[in-house]
Amino acid sequence: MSSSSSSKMIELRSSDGETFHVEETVVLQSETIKQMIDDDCANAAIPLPNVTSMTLAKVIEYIKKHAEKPKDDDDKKVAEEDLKKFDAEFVKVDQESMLFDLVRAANYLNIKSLLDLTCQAVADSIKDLSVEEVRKKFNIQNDFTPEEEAKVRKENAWAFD
Amino acid sequence: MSDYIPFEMQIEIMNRLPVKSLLQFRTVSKSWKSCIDSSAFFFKYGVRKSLNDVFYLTYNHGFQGSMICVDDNLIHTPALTNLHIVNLKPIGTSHGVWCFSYGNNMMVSIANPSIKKEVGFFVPNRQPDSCKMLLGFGVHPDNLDPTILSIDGGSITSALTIMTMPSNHFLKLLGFNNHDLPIVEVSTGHIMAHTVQVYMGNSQLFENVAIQGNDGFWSGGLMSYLDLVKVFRHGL
Repeated sequence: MSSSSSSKMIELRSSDGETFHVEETVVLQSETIKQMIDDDCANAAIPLPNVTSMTLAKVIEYIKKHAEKPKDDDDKKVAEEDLKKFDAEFVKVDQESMLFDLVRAANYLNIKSLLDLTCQAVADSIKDLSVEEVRKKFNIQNDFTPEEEAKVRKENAWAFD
Repeated sequence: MSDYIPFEMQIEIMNRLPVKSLLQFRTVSKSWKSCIDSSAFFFKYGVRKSLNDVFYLTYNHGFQGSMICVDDNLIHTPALTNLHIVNLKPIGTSHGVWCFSYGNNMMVSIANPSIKKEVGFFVPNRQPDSCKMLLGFGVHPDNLDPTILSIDGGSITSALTIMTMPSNHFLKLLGFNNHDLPIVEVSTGHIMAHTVQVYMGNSQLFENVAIQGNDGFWSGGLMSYLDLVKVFRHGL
C-alpha cells in the first residue's frame, strides 16, 4: 500500500524497545517528531520513552490511515466517510486504559486530530457518570469538605430546571 | 498502572463535556471547580463547536428581554441566560461568545451562553461623552482572546492595544489577519459603502482591504486578507 514510494523512512523506538519504520510523510503529523526531524535529530531511531509499543502501533495505524490521499473528488467523499467510520471504530477500544494511553500519546506526540478524537471519546464516556465515578476514573482526590461540596452543589441547582 | 491522566489533559476532556455534566463536575475537586469557573475556560468552552453557527441577538422593549440563537439552518432556539437583557445593548457575537454594553458604554459584558456565564468589566480609557462611542467585538480565532474595539473621539481602544482611526464610522470587528492585526468593517456616514479595513501596526493607520459591492466584496490591493475576512465573517 504505502511501501512503493521513495519517501524517507523514519525509525521510531517505543519505551519497551520495539522499533517501527514509518514513512516520513506519515510521521510528520506528529508535531513533536516533525520538530525533531527539522532539528536534524532523526538520523538514528527516535526514542519515544513515554509510548509503549502497543500504543505506538495504534498511533501509527491512525496516522497511516489519515495520511491516505484520495485521487479525485469522487474518491474524496468516499474517503471522508471512510475516515469517519475509521475514527469511530478506532476509539472503540476494549480497555479504557488504552484510550487513556492514546490521549497521553497524542498529547506527547502533539497530533492534534488524534488528541481531539480521543479526548472527545473520553468526554463521551464520562458525561453521564456520577461525580464519584469521575473521581475514581481520573484518580482524583476529593479535597472538598462536605459543607463546601454541598455549597457548590447548591450553586449548580439553577442549571437543572 | 498508568491510568493517570495529567491535569492539562483533563482540561482538554472537560472542554468537550456537555454543559450539564460540566456544572455537575464542579464538585469533583477544587482544581476542577476552579478550572470550570476560570475565565480562560469561560472563553474557550463552546467556542470550537459554535464556529459553524450563526448567532443572532434580539431583545424586546419593556420589562422582558429575550435572546435568540440562530444556526446555519435558520432554526431558532431561545438562548438560556441569566442576563437581564433589557438593560443591555448588543454589540456583537463571535464564536458563540456575545458582547453587550451597559450604562452608556460604561461597562461591557461578555456572555458565553453555552455555559450560562458572563463577565463584565469597565471600558478602558472611557471619555466623559462616551455614550457616543462605538464598540466592536470579536474573538480571536487562534488564541480565543475576546477583543473589544471602541472608537472614541478618533481613537480605537481595544482590550489589548490602543489604536487610532478617524471617527464618525460604524465599526465591526471581523477578525484578525495572520499578524494578529484586527480587520474591521467600517461604514462612513456620507458614503453609502461598507469597507473592510485592516489596522497596520507600522503606520498606525487603517488601510482599505475591500469595498462591498453588489456581488460581495471587491478587493483592493491587499488581496491576501480577503480570504481571512470571509472566513471570519461567518463566525460573527
